[in-house]
Amino acid sequence: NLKCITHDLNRMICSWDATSSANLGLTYKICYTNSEPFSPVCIETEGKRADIPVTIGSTNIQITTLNASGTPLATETFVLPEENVSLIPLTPQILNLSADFSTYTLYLKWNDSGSVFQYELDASWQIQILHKETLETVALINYDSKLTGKDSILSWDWTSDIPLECTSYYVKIRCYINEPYFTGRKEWSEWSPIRTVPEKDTKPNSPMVFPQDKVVLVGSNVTFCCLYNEGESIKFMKYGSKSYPLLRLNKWSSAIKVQNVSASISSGTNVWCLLEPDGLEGTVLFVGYAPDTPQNLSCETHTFINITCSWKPGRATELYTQRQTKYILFERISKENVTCEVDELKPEHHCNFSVHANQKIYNFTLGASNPLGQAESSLLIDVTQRVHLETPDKFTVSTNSSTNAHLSWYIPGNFIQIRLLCQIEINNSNSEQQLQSVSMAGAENSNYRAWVDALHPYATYTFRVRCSASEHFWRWSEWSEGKKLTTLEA
Amino acid sequence: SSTSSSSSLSQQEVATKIKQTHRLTVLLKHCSEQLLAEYVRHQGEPFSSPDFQPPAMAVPGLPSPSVPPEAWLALSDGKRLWHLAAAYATLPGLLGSVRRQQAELNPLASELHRQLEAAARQCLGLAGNLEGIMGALELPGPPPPSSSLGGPPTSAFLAKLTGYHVCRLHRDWAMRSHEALGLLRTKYPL
Repeated sequence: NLKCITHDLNRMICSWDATSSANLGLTYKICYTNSEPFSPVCIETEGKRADIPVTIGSTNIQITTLNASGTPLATETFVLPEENVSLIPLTPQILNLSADFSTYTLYLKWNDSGSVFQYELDASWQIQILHKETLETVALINYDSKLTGKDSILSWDWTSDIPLECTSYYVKIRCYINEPYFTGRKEWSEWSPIRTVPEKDTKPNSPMVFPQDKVVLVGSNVTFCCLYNEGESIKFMKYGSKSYPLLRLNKWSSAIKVQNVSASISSGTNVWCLLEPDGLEGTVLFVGYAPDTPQNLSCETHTFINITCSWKPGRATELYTQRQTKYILFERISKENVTCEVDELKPEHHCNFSVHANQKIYNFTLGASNPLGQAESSLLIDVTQRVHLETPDKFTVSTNSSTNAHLSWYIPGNFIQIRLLCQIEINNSNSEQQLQSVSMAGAENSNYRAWVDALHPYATYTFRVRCSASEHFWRWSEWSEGKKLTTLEA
Repeated sequence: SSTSSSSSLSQQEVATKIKQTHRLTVLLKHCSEQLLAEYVRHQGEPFSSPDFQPPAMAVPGLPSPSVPPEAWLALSDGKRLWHLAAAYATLPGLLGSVRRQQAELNPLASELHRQLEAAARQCLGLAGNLEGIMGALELPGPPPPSSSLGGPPTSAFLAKLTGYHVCRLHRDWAMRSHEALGLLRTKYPL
């Protein structure tokens, strides 16, 4: 009953059964040759196994049983064709098993022992994940790799559909090597020693519900578990006001599966379990949407000191405060970005970006992100073509004649590089209205002046002024406050 | 609140102070009921369900008025005032913590935030009045209050649950203070 296996196609381990009754003190002499004309090599061993080189073709093996004094008791000769040798890879070893509880993901690392073979080979791996308590298989995954003649660390990850805190998992792996030219039997290796997630191999130290404060998309399916102490039992578990059938995971853990969750209220949907004798544990699920693409993105400058971008957030995400959408304004040319402070409760958001000396073109990308996703909008502007002046301030009107009026106003901002166009609205007491335009050089944080003629003597007028960029009109400023004036008598 | 020695407050002034404080407890009782109702409205089930009766939970620094009514009535005025003063020395800080947590969980619930803020102010006022009365009656005051709920809650559910217990205790203490001050008023008529 000779059986030979090899782990590396280099040497094989042959083992046999010996039928003689007196097993004590027996030794075995093994002599082997292969079909090549070499003289036999003989070795003696006490165990019923021997380590023999693997050779191409068949190997002639002679096994002689010797008693304690070395007298041969029996001899058996075998011709071992390669077909009768089994290639069984070495039992793999898991180097590391870690877990990211927030993403329910197990991370596995192991050594592929590629150096056992001096050339490239296809290898298949099976990774088995079991529930620790019930040893029920949760997942059996095939993973292929290439042995390269050197040892390589392989890594792989697996995401559970229930929180990792809910139950303990065992992980083990085995290997299969597909050596195309080996005509013997190719079998799976032994399973590796079992590994479990280090932090999770103990009973829960206090009752809890998982996942804690998770954020998910509307429509998701979510599994929750309630962990309780031994000696406690679970009465029921509810998602909001609805009770769900309990799935028992182990002695101290039961779960519920909730399908197609809808948007939660701002403080989240409660998931809770009532325990015997008198415990109440719970968690909160925040259900919302990923950010919408920022809408109506528009950027302009009021003072040539800052560029103010504004936009509408689009569909509400139903997520607030620490889960709200965060905005970052990135400018490609200067490679600068700004974190925008927004008030989530306002329908429109704003963000300021400094105007750079000698930079006219600004290539903005507004990124929106929340725990469920991200979106972005882009806009390219020439800042000199996006001037939206502040409302003219300190507006005064005066006259020292019966037909003229002098107007003065102040506009904050640095407009040295552009010309301004201002519109003067003149209303007389008969509610006749005139609009006069005047163009002037821009200045920095300056007062601007204009005068109006062809007025009627001893008449009362109301003046207002607004301004814009002259060359590339973008928007008028707001009107200044109105100022009344009565011209002198003729 | 002014701290004055007892001899300087006449019997009349003490009675007036007790009457004012009793009126404050009437307001507190009403507002605390409203606050609890407003609070549960924003936390979602099971908090908002009428038959929600969670197991009692210790709130750091705030004893529950667990003394049974008969035993409460059997206490001396001083002992009752001491218990009240101890509770109202802590409640403002706790209500402040709950308001901060609710600003995080329910940023849109401005009415809830307003009520929580008002409740903390009312408790501060009542604590001052109680201190005045106890000083006037030469009764030993309570220990210094603990500031708030300690560190941030470890989860949103725990924040909701803790807030629920604080609001409920606030209501329970308001009822007890109303009852105790009512008793005191009968002993110090105007």
